[in-house]
Amino acid sequence: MVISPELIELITGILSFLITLMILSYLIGDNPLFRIAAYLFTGVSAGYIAVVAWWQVLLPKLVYPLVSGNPMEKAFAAIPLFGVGLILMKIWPRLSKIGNPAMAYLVGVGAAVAIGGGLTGTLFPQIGATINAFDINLVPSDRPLGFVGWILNGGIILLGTVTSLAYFHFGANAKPDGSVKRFILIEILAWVGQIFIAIALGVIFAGVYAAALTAFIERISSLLKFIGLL
Amino acid sequence: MPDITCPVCGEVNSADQEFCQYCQSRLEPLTGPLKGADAPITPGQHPTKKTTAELEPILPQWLREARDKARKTVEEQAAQEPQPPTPASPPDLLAGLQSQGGHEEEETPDWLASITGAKPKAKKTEAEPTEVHWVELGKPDEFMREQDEETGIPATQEPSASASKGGLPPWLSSAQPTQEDGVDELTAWFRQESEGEKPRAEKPAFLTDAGSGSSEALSKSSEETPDWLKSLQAEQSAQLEIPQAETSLPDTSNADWLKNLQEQQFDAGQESAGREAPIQGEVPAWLKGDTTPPSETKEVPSWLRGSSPPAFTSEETSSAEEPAGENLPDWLKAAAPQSSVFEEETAAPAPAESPDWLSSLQKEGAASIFEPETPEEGAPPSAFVDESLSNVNTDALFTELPDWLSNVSPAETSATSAEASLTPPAKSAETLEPGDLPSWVQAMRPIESSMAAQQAPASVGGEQPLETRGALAGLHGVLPAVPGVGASSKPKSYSIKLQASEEQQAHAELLEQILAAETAPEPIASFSPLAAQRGLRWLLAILLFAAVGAMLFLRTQSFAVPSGETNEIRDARLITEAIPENAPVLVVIDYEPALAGEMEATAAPLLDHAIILKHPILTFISTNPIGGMLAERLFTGPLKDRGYQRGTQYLNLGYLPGGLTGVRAFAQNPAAAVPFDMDLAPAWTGTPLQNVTSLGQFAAMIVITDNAESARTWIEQTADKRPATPLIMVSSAQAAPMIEPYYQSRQVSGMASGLHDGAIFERNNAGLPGLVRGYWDTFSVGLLLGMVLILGGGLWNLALGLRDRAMAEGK
Repeated sequence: MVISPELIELITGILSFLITLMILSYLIGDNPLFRIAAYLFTGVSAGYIAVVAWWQVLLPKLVYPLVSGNPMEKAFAAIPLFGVGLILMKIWPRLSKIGNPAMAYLVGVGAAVAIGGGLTGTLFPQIGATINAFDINLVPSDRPLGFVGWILNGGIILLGTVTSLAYFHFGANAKPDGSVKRFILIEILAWVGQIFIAIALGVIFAGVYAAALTAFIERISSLLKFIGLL
Repeated sequence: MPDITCPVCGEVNSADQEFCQYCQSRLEPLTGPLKGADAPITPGQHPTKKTTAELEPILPQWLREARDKARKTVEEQAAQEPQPPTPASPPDLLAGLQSQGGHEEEETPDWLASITGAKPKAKKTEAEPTEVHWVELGKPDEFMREQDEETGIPATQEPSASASKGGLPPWLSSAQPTQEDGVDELTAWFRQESEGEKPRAEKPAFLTDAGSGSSEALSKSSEETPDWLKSLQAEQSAQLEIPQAETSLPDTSNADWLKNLQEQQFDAGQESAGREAPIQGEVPAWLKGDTTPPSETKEVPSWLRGSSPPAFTSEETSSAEEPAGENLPDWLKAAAPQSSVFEEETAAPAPAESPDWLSSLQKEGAASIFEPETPEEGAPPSAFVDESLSNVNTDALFTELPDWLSNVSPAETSATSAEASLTPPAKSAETLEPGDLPSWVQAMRPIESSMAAQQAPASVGGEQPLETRGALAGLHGVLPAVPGVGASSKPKSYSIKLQASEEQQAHAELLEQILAAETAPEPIASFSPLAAQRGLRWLLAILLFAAVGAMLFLRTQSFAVPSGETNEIRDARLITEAIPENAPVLVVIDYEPALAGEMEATAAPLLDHAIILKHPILTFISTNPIGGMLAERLFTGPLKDRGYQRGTQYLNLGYLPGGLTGVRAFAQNPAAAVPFDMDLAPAWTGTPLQNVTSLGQFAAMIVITDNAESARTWIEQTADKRPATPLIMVSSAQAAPMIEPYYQSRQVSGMASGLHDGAIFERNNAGLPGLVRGYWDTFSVGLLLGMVLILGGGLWNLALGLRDRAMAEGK
C-alpha cells in the first residue's frame, strides 16, 4: 500500500489541527485535553531525541570508530566509552562516586570553555565597543547628524550602561539614625539607570509579544489553511 | 556317707556340711558354675564395686578377732617404736599402707622384679610369720604343722607333693597325682625361667629330676639337672635380658612383650614337656576337663596376659598362700589371691582345696572378678595400673578407715545391708549427693571457720572483705576492694534555673520581641484577582482570536510592509549578496519548534534571497536535537519552491552535541566534530563540503536562533576561528535586544530579528516567499490590539484607582 503525499499531508494536518486545539484549550484553564497534548508532545520529543542521540551521536561517534575505525580512532573512541561507563555508575547511589571523575571532566571543560568564551567573546569586546563609541575616527561618513549624532549615540550608550550598572550597585553606609542609604551620586545614576532598564524590559517585552504573536498567527494560519483544504 | 576332713584345720566334719564347723572354711571346692550374684564376670562386663565396709559385719568371728588383733598389734608397735616420719600419706582410704611396706618389698614376685628391673631378693627358705596374712585362711600354723607331720616335707615345698591322699578330701585326693605331675611341672619351669639366677635350692624337684616326676625327686640336688635343661635355662635367661631392660618403664605395652615372653617360655616348657611324654600323659581328669584343649595349652591364660592384674600383685592373698606351699611359683602365688575378702564368703575356698586361679582356668573370662574400679571401656589392660590397689593391705583399710566410713555403726550397716543386696553398692556410692559430703571433705572447706571468724569481734582478715557466696566463699581478700571505684559521695547538684537580673530579663524580652517581629510573616496585601484575571483572560483571548482569525481569514493586505532598512538589515543583506556563487554557507538552526513560525518567516526571505542570488551550498547544523528536522521543514515549507536537494545543494549535519563545548569543538575542527550527516554519510568528503576543512572556509555563517544564549555561544566560541567569515544573526524578536550589543561591537556582521526585519528582507526579495506578507496585516492588528489592550488596561486601572481614591476621599 502506497501512501500518497496528499494523504500524509492530510493526516498530518488533522493531527496538527487537533493538537493545536488541545493546546489552545488552556485558555479555559488546565484541562485533560491540554495535558494529553502536553504529554504527547513530551513523549514524542523524548522518543525523537533518543533516536537522534543514537543515530547522530552514538552510532557515528562511538560505534563506528570502535568497529571500523583505525587504531587511533578506536583509541579516541575508547576514552568517551570509558567516560560513559563511569557516568552510568550514577544510576546506583553506592557507585555514583565512580562517575564523579567523568562529571568533573565535563564540568571543568564546560566551565573553561564558557569562561574563556565569555571573556574573549563578550566582556572584552563589549567594553571595547562601549569605549569606541566616543572614537571620532570611527564616525561613518554617511551617519545622520555626523559627529554630533555619533557622540550623542555614544553618550546614550554610555549613560545607559553606567546608570544601569549604578542601579545594581547596592553598597551603602549606615547613618546615625540607623537608616541605610546609598551615596547621592549613586542614587541619581541608579534612578537614571532604572529608566534605561525599564526601556530595555519594554523592548524585550515587545519582542516577546511580537514573537508570540507571530507564532500565534502562524498556528491560526495553519488551522485556517487546513480548514481551507477541507 | 564318710566324714570330710577340713583341708584347713584338719577337723572332721560331717558329709552334709558345706563349711567347716570349726574354721568356717569350705569343705568342698566350688567346681560347678557360679550362679546369681556369684556368677563370674564375662568378658566385656564391668564388675560391680563393693564397699568393704558392708562386708565387715558379715565376716566370721575368727576373722574379726584376727583383725582386732592386728589393729592392736599395730597400735602397740606405734606406741613402742616411734616410726620415722613418712611422706605425706594419701587420703584416708590409703592410710595404713605404709605398714605393709616391708612385706611389700620382701614379697615382690620374682617375675615382677624381673619386669620392673628390680633386683630380686633371695627368698627366705624359712617360713615367714604369716599370722596376719593368714587371717583369711585361719590357723595356718596348725595346717603347716599337720602337713609337716604327715608328709615329713618342709612346709616350703609343694603341698601337693607332700600331702598324703589319706588326709585329703576325696576330690583333692583324686586330683593329687595329676596336680603333682602336670601343673607343678609347668609352673616350676616357668618360675625357673623367670627367676634365672635363683638359688638352686628353690628349684622344684621335678626340674632337678625331670625324668621321674615322683616326690622323691624333690630331694635331689640341682646338680642332677639334665644338660638340655641347663642349656635351655641359659638360652632363655639370655632372652630375658632384653625384656628386663625394657620393663623399667611402667608402660602398658609391657603386657605384650610379657605375653610374648611367656609364650616363648611356654613353648620351651612344652618342649621340655614333650620330652616328658609320660608325665604329659598322666594329666589328671580334672585338668583334662578344662575347657582349654591340649592344643591351646600354649596360650597364656587370661590372668597371665594381664587381664586380671590384681592376680599378680595382690600381696596379701599371695602371702596367705605361702603356708600352704611356700615353694609355689610366684605366678601361682599371685593367682591365689583371687579368693579375697572382697568375694562372697561362699566364693572363698581354701587354697588347698581349689585355687581360684584353677577356677579361672576352667572358666575363661571369669578371672578378673577382683577389679577395684570399673575399668574404662576400651582402655587396654595394664599390669601396673592396679598395683597400688592390689598392694593395699586390706587390714590397714579396715583399721584406718576414714571417719565417715568408720563412724558407720554396725546397726546401720546391717540395716543397709538389705538394701545393698538389692542395689549395687557401687551405685549407692556413685549417687552420693553433694550435700552428703564426708566430714573430712567438709573439713577442708573453710566456710564454717571463716564464717565463725567473721562473727568474731576481731577478724582474722582485718579489713579485708570476706566472700560469703560462690566459689570463693570463706576466703579473705580474694577480690580486692579498690578505693575510688565506687561513688564516694553523692554528686553535687546544680540548679539549671537561669539567674538573671531584672535588667537582663528586660533585655531578653526586648530581644524576643525583635526576633518575633522578624520571624512573624507579614500578611501580603492581596486582592481577588482570580475572577478579574479570568474574565480579562477570556476577554483577551476572544479579542486575539477574533482579530487574528478575522485578519487571516480575510487575507487582507491593507497594512504596508516596512521599507526602510536598518543598519543591521542592510549589513545582513549586503553580506548575503556578497556570498560567492555556490559558496559553502553554514546555517545554524537553533530555535524551538514553538517559534518556528516567526523564525521561518524571518529567515526564509534572507535564505531565499541568498539562494536566488548566489545559490550557496547550504550546510545546516544545530545544537538542538530537533534542529535538523526544522532545517528540513524550511525546504519543505517556505523554501519549497527553490527545489534544493539534500546532499547536493544543501547538507544537513543534524545535531551537534556538547552545547558550547561542542560548538567550540566544531569551530576548531568541523570534520572531526561532525563527521557524518543525518543520513550517516561522510559529510566532509562529498560534494557540498569537498574543499571545506575549517570554519573559516565557509563564505558566511548564518545563525537562526530564538535564544540570546545560543547566539552568544556561537559568537563567542567561533569568533577566533572565522576571522574573515561574516556572521549574520537571524533572531527572534524576543532575543534581538540581547543580541544587538554584539552587532554594535561588530562581532555580528548583520542582523535580522523578528517579522519586521523579515518583511524588509522579503520586500527586498521581491516579495518572496511571501510568507511575511501573509502575516503582516494580522501581525500589525495583533500589535495594535496588544497596544490597545495594554494601554486600555492601564487606563482602566488608572480610572479604577482614581475612583477608589475619590471614594476614599469622599468618605
